[in-house]
Amino acid sequence: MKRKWPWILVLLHLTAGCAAVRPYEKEHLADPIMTAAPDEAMRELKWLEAREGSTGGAGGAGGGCGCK
Amino acid sequence: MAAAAALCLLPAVDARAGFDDPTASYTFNHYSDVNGVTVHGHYVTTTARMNGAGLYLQWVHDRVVFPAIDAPPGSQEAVDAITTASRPIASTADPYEDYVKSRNSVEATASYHGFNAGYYVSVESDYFAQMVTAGYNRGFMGDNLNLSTAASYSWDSIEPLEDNDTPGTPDYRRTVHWNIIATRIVTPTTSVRLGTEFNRVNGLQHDPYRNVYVAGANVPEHHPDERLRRDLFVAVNQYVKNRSSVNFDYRYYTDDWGVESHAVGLKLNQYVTDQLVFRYRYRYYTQLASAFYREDYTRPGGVDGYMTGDYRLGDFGAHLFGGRVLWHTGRLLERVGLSSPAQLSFSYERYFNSNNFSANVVETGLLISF
Repeated sequence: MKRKWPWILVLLHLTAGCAAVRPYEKEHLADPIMTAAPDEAMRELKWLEAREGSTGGAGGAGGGCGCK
Repeated sequence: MAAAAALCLLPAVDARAGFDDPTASYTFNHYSDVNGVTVHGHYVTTTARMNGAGLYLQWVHDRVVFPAIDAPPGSQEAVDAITTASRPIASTADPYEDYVKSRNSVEATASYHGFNAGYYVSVESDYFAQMVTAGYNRGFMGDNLNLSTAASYSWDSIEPLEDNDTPGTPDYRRTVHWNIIATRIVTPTTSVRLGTEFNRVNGLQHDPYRNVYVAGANVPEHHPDERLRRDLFVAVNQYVKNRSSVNFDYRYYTDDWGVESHAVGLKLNQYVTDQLVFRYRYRYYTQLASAFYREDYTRPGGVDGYMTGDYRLGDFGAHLFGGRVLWHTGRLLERVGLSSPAQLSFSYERYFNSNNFSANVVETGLLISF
């Protein structure tokens, strides 16, 4: 896992050079089709965790249950 | 039906009471798999803002049905099914009846000026779970970069029900979780999300009802009491000119049990009309087994004292295909008394893996903005 940290820093550095996007240019980014609703991601994480040996990717820990 | 009625009973919050942008939603989730297990989940959620603070409240009711064993009593097939069952069996009649389990959970979260805090509680017949969460996020570079971090602590109490061939000793599980996520707006049509998460799990982590065949003997399953879990994920969202978008996501996971996995997904969203959105998705998953997983345990004591009958700790790959329809109803539901904007959704997903396991997931939901 320690080998992954340089990759994270490189990605952040690469994107740091991007030109600033002004607020009035963010119309498309605000469209709901650009991201999944957090609730949907957590519901999916819940049943996938009960069927696979790994977890994560939704940006939060789901609550405990006997299903895991 | 009960959950839909609950949704209608949620107060149509009046702005004069100080609530802004309130929403209420109900989602029904149906899961069924090749083993005959069925899960019905009802999700009732409400959100609102008040004096700059965000409020989130969700109640979830799950009903899980484990099917009766479909094998002649006394047959080797029946003996194997009972031995490796992941449900309590207290009498000889139990395995030949469906086992039904209900779970209720409530989660409440408040957010204010980038800070958020929450509490979760879940109750079922043999498992009581609680969790507290806290997080902070802040925008930089003219809100083109958002950094967030969150932590949670959960403490679960496990009291197995009576079972013929496992000890059923009360136990606990504690989980500490921490994450850090960066979201960067790269262009007016592209955003990138990068994050990493850590989990330290301590306590009971095997099925308290399941036995495993080890060197010819039938012994209770036993996993290590501690597990360090880590994952790294990236998501790229790209808006495409013809009112569509492509979402790509990748997650790498590893833990100190030896499990290592990769998950990659792709979604295509398309406006069909101004009010109708279709989404198609595909996800591929591949996993390497834990260090103590074996198809057959030939030596007493398993592997360093650990043995498992949980296929989730083995090698396998999985595919998931699905589609979703999202309909912004506009004023169409005024005829049934809903004058507020509403959104209906329906999705179907098909999951199958290399262990000949497959499942269907169907979901439908209604979101109302007051």
